[in-house]
Amino acid sequence: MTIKGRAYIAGIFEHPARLAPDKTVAQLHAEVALGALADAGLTRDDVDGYFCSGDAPGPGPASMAEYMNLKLRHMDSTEIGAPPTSHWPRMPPKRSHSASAMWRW
Amino acid sequence: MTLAGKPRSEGMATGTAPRARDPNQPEAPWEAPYAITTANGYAMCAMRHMYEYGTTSEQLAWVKVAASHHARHNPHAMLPEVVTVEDVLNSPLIADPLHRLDCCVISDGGGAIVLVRPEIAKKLKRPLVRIIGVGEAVKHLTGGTFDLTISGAARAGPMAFAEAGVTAADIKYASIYDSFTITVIMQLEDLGFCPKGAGGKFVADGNLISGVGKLPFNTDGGGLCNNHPANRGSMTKVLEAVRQLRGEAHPAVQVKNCDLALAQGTGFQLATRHGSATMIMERE
Amino acid sequence: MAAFASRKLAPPVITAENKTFFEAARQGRFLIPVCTACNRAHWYPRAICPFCAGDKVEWRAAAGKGTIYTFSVMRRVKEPYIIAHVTLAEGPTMLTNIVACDAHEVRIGQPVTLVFQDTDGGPPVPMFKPA
Repeated sequence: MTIKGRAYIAGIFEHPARLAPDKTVAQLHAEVALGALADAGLTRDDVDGYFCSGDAPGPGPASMAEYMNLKLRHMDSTEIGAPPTSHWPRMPPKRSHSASAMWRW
Repeated sequence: MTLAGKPRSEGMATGTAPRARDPNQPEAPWEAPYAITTANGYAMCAMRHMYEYGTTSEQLAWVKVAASHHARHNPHAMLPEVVTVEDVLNSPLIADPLHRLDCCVISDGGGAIVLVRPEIAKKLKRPLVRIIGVGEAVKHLTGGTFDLTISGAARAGPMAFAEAGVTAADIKYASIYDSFTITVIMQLEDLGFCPKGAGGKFVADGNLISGVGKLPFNTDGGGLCNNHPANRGSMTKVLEAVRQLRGEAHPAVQVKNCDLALAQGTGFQLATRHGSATMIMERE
Repeated sequence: MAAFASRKLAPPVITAENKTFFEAARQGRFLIPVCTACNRAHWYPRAICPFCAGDKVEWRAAAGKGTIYTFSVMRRVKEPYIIAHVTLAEGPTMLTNIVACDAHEVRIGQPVTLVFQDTDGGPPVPMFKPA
């Protein structure tokens, strides 16, 4: 299964700080996430999946999913010494169902 | 895909001591001082479920009883003896309302699966077990407003059923994550095997026992009686579902014409945050 | 059984996001985070509102009153204690312990009131006792 033509990068954000003693790591992850969503013209409600690596406070992505209050259908974490940004585009395709009907909480 | 670990021989605390955390976890300062553990967290969910729906300790116990009826046929099971509801209620309380026999084993070991493309599967001369639907979800405390009687299966399950094009009533065998008896009851409701709140009634009187009840479950004995390697019980759930679909389960527990099965996992902590995954498989 | 004799409490990790909270706790004041954009209180505290993603969250004095949403008596340990989720008067539900009572007195729905408990080498943390 090829990735070619199946995924687009629609939003990007680089945190302006270079020294951030007054922020927590979780906060930095959230700030860059929100920055990239804003760049794409999307909000957290549009987010189905979340990926991170060993730098995100963990284990795994659940803590960050909660910190940002995301409603996820898919999440994953990979640790190979640097975030594997080439791995992540291979996430499952969006399914055609009424997502709002699924949210019982 | 592999899963393996040695919590038992490494002397891991039996779910009654808080586990080490990454200090950068944003929830850590607000949870660590209170000594939430695996056992007392799931116990809080059981307490709330009993409060809202009248679920009883006897109903919780039936989940363990059913698993033990299956484990007795498994030569590798850690706890192969059949137990009664009374045995469960007489076992020591770990964290109200959960007794020791409401809790899964801690075992070493592991398991693996190999996934292949359709054209390869057809060349292998093994029974054809096909994945037809999956669902995933993460449930957490959503900023402080939450319902602890619902698990992530309430979201993951409908996704998997929709993709598979089947309903809970079609499922012939289910592997349901059984870290604790309450976990099973909540997931059965969330997956739609019974209405929310009716899980206690659903599991009572042997309804999960193969050959006896309506929904044979965890016919290897589950995490409650057989194996929960590395404290991650999902691999063993998939393995037994595949055995059932192939007709390779123990004859005493093999479901007749088992051509549609479900495996359900719940990872981490129902009382704070957890991942949930549903997989539906059929035999071609 | 009197819950909570002399269990040593692990001190919380102090971070940029929570140091104001724990400085107030040392003075016996219980603060909760409220978003100035959407006006909702949340828990656990974050610098970014989990509801509207607003970044102007401020600390406000909380009443220190709540009701028990659920609890469990942790028995299989040297010193039994009570873990609980308590719903605060301001709305959010927080993880905590119930102290200064016997285990059999605790009920879901019971009104409780704040009591700070000292940690081992750190600031006090909020817990609750029957009101």
